[in-house]
Amino acid sequence: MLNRYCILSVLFILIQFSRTAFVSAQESEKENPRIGLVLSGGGARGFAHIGVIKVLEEEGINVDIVGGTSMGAVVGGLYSMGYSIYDIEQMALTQDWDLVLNDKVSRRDRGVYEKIESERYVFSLGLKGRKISIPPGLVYGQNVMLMLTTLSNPAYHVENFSDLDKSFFCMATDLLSGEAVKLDTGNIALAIKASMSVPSAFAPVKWGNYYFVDGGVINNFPAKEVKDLGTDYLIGVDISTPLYKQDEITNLVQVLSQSIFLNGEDSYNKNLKLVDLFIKPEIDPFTAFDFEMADSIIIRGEKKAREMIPQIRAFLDSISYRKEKVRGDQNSFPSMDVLYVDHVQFDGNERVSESYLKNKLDVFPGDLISIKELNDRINELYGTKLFHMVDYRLSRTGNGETVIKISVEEASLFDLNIGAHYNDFSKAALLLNLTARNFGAKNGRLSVDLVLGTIARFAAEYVVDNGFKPGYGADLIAFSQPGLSYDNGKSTVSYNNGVFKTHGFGLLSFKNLLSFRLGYSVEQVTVSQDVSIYDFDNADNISGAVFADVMLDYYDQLYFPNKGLYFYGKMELGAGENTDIDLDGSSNVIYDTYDYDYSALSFQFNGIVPLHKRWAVIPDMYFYKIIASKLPNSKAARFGGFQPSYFSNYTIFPGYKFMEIDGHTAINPRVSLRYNFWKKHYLTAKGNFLSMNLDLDKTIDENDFYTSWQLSYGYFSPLGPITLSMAKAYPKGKMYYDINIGFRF
Amino acid sequence: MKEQFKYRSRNINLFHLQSVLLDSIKVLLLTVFLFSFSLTISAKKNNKLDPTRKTRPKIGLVLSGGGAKGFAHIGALKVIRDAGIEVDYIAGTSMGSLVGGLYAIGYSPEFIETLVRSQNWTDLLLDKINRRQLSLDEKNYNEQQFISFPVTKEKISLPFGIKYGQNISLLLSKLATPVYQHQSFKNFQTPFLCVGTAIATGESVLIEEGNLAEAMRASMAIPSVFTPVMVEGKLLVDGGLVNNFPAKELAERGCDIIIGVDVQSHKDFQIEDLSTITSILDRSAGFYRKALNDTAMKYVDYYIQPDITGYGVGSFGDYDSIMLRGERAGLENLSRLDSLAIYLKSFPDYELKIRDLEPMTHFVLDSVVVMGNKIVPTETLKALFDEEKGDVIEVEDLEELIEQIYGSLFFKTAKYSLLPGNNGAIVKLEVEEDELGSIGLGLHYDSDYKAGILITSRFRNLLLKNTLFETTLGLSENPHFGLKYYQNRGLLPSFGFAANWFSFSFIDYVNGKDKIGEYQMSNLLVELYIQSVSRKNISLGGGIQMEVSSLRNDIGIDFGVNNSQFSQTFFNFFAFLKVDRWDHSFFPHDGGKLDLNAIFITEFLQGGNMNFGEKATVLSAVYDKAIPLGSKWTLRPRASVGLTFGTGLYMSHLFTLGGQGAHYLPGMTSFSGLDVFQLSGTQMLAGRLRLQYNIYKRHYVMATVDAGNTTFNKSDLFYIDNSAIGYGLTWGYSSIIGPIELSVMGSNYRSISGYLNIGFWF
Repeated sequence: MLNRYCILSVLFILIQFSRTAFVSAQESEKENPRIGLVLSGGGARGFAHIGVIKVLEEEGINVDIVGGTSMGAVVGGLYSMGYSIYDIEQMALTQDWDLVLNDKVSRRDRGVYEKIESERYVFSLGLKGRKISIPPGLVYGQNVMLMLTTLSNPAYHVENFSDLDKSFFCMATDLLSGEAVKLDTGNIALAIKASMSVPSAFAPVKWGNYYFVDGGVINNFPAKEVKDLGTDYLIGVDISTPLYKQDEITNLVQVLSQSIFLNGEDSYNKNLKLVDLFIKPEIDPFTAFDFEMADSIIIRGEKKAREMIPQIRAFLDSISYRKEKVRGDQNSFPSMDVLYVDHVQFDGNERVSESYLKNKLDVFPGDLISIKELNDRINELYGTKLFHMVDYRLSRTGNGETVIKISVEEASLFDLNIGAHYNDFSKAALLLNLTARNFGAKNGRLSVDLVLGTIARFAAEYVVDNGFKPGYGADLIAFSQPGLSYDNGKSTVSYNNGVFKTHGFGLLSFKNLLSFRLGYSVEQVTVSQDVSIYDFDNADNISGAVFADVMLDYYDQLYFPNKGLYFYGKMELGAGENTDIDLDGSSNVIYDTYDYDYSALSFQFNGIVPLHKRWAVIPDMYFYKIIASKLPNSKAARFGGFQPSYFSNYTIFPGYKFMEIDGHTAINPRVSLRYNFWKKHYLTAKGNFLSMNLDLDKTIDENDFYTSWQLSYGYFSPLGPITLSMAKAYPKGKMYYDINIGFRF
Repeated sequence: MKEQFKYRSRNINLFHLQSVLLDSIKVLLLTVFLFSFSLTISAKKNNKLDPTRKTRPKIGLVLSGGGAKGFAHIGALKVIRDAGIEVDYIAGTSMGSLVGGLYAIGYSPEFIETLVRSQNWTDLLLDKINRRQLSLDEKNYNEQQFISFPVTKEKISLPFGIKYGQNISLLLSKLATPVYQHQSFKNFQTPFLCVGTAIATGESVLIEEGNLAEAMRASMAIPSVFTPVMVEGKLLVDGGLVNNFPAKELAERGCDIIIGVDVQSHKDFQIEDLSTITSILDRSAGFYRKALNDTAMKYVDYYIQPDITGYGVGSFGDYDSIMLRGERAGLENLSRLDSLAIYLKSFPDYELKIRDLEPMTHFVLDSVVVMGNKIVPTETLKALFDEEKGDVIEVEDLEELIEQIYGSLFFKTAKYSLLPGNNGAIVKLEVEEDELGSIGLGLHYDSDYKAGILITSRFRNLLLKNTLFETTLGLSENPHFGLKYYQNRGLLPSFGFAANWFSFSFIDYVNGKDKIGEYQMSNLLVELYIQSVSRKNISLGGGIQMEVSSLRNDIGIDFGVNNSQFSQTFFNFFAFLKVDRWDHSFFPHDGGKLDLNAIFITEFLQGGNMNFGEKATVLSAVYDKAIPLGSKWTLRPRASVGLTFGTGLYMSHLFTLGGQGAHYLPGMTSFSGLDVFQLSGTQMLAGRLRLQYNIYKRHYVMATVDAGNTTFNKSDLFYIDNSAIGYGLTWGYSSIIGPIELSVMGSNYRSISGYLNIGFWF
């Protein structure tokens, strides 16, 4: 990764850049004219700058001033800070740009109750008062900001960009005044981000009284600005995409983008004239979005520069430039791994209290913390979903103390989320969800679900997750699901299961991974008549139980995980009253009401064992045992079907019908072999085994055995997983098919 | 052929974003204090009224752009005219070009004012097709999805709500009819020019000749709202991008004294105003303006700046106040305008022109020219004109024809202009053909059928010209799949081929009350038909169909024998007549809807060992009318009759009462307080009376009473004891994702129940 320099060094503290070597080099060759380097913007095409700079270094050109816009600011900024161009190349090649240019946060950094969030909805909207608030950009740029901050840490004590290894500035466009602004002091990471905040893609950057978007809107090639800093000659690298020609404009986006980038056309043309050595790599057909093609784009830059070596040499001769010692593959600063923290400051929080931030961040004055650890903490803070942006900046006070300043931008209190899915079992369903965070109590999270579909559901949950300090929570869920009863394989009666469950619990969680709960639950299941040739009254099962559970969730993603494991274990002690309905010999409905008490233990374990790049084995184990004075159906372990449901003690078992199998002791190992055959497409073969003890009096060796196999194709689409499955009981049984589209909820 | 209640929506997403943007601009303007520069600027220029001057000075009028704020120009124009000032040259940008252009060709400010008041600006700007102009097939297709992605040969594009400016073009074309013989804008009653921006190069383009309607449309083609317009080989967008105040151009054309009306906002931007993607993009596209305006201002001698605080570029609904503010700003400058008028009157050749122009109502046709079509043949389009050379054409009829061409949805835009011909006017019909096709997505929930996801696709001109190919896939408890390939040739007979399959569960009620069983019906219908659609959207047709219908018992009593499934295959002949003149598809205020169907069923093959009958003729008629009672109230009577002749009993052709929304089968009639299929029979008679009240904007309340009967014997049809009476109260909201309805209802067969529907039907 980009932090190669971090890994190399073992420990330590902040050492200022030593500029001595550089200064002396300059003195010994003082007759060399000062050369400025102008790097234009152009998104991913800007990787070509790297290739060009490599060749310039090979030719012994040691530029004095670098000015850049957008991607030119990224490459130019890193180069000016002192990164070797080879390190920058490595960074460009190894970075997961898909992630960096997104606001996604790793699942492991999300709170126990936030994990589900990003794997449930088709889209989410913030609410401002009663209105839906439209975001200022497709992304806020959290990850790109964190990347830039991390990379800029070695230069953290430099306030004025002219004091960097090479004097540097970048251009941004102020939306308020409509003018291009030269950024050459302050937070360099933020300056670079401002310079690359393409309107609509990224949210603009607030900076004092400015409101910045991509500098390329007005000044994509800041040659004049470099010239004005007292350079004698200019080398310009232009990788910008030209304006659309008339016949290329076919849609509204092009019209709009053209209208925006027309603003910069005048200054661009003027700036071109100032350049003494102009290099324009041929990068087509790669576009500004081809971040995955960094490799090829860098080569395009290098290729063009090599072709131009005669011109470059002629230019150097014409200005009597003697080759200088260049940086080569050495970074011009010592690596920085660990930080001694003197002060921690917070900025931008309004609704969220500072003490909350302090505790969540868990970095205090006097701590020695690694940059990696600090980044993790920032990600965890961001993972609370309370903020649009969380970033930090290191600085140094007058007396040499190190300050970490955390800036947050708060998200709206309420989010409105919409989900949709379809599967063969529950058919189409729509989900409307309202989530509020840091609501009521500190760390309080309220989530209300309304599911419209064949299985209508209402659920509300309020949890105060204080991490390692005790928290508490309560939830309730109510749903209605049709059920069928069979008579000689023919369904004769359909009924509704009305289920109402509520929990109240105390809670402890650790590192967003592990949570313990201890609480009390009440459950009511009501069976009521729907389509039936017999008339019967409603029959209830009401029970209450003390429960304790533990959950460990270490998956990297919920659907098609690549690594991690999951464990859930639960113990219950309870009692209840149940009414069973049955028919006697002469088809009269009879009711049997009884009290019972029970104790139950269950656990579920899944893990991922990666075999090879594309292959993985997923072992999976489920166990359930209930000891009851008399066992009502709703407390039994129930199996069958492809899709999970909200019934208690229910587990899928493809190859059998929904809830076709039940009993009191179940041992259910499963194993899957998964092949990721192309991008996000998967093939999975799975074997399901079940040993079920039906009768309370039976001992473990008198079990019934069930086996089924399952084949499925899955695709992880942006709208959620799409899976097609078929399953069959072994050795004999009917083949069942299933289709599922969209996230579960 | 199944007719369903469906909804239409087009380009809603962007509209919503825009309205949010416009709201924020409104709020912003409220907070900004505008002040006038007029005194400082005019002080040094007053010497222009030189008493020693021999020749009359030329007066120029420049009108800035500014969207709806440009309505203020109308008020200002009134004051200028009333002061007795005649202008010699008019220049305008965007809305300024619209008002200025109309004034220049001779419309009075009063006419323009009436015009502004009489428009439904939302529909005008949103390219809403008048529902009545949509063909019946289009009504079906368009009113079921809420988002649609255009498909070109290469790829699927994003659904960016592009407005081709169809409606505004039609309006402008009509207004420009009186000057169709003028090629140069210099020959107008007052010479005129307007400004566009060449999007390829960013240069400002002056439009001074050609088609006035097109020129005005180009000048107001705001990049994020309207598509650019090609004028003389240059692709133009809103002139406001580079030159929103073309005063310099007037000076260059010899104007000695320039009056400027400026409705732009000159306030500073605040971060709070730029908190959404749309506002940020809009701002980013407008950096140029400021610098240019500063130079333009130097040329202005009389600067009128209406105080339009509180209104924004999108405040099209607030025309009254905005026009008034324009007038007020004019009056504030009245003394100076008066002295200018007195000065001008001192010249002998000075005169005030009379402005009393009206749009043409009819003209003599010389010929028809068709442009822009690539796939649809010119002859097809020309054939739509009944009129021949020398005939008189009413402009109104021409407009309706154009709307209908547009309504066929083969075109992104269809517009006309008149050109001077030898024996009258040449109608130039200009069309732009639409993309290859589109893919649509719909979501729906209702209490009867639960949630559903719909995926549709439509492709134009596959295999044959003038054809549409559509597929629909509905994923829900009652899945359905359909494909349809048909011609759209208007009045000329067109063929169609359709295949539909659906699976549908319903509950068997004994005596209409007790649920004793549940059945699943699967129906495959393959049909070939011919239909003809008139200009008034009456469609008449008929054809043959093959139907494979199977019924399966899922729960409860099966068919008695050891067999819970049977299927039948029919071979049917059918005919239909459909008229749909509703103005709104879910909460109509005006218009009627008639649906007549006749099917002659012959049993072809039969599975199982059930035998219900042989042949039957099924007739059905539904008339559903919306009678406006004032602007808010609507009375909606509906009558349905279904009769079966013959001995057969066919599940898929039964008449049923019950359910509130979609109808999978032609014999299903919605009925308050009854479940789907609750009452069924071979004969049916039902009436409904619904009173609908539009309580607020898109909110409605409806009270409904239903009465009806179904029997298996015609003579029992009027046997009152079995008949059902239902009643219901509904709140409805016409949202951007389709209708949302919440009802409480009951009947003599069922106790009080509730009903919820969200989204377009499909």
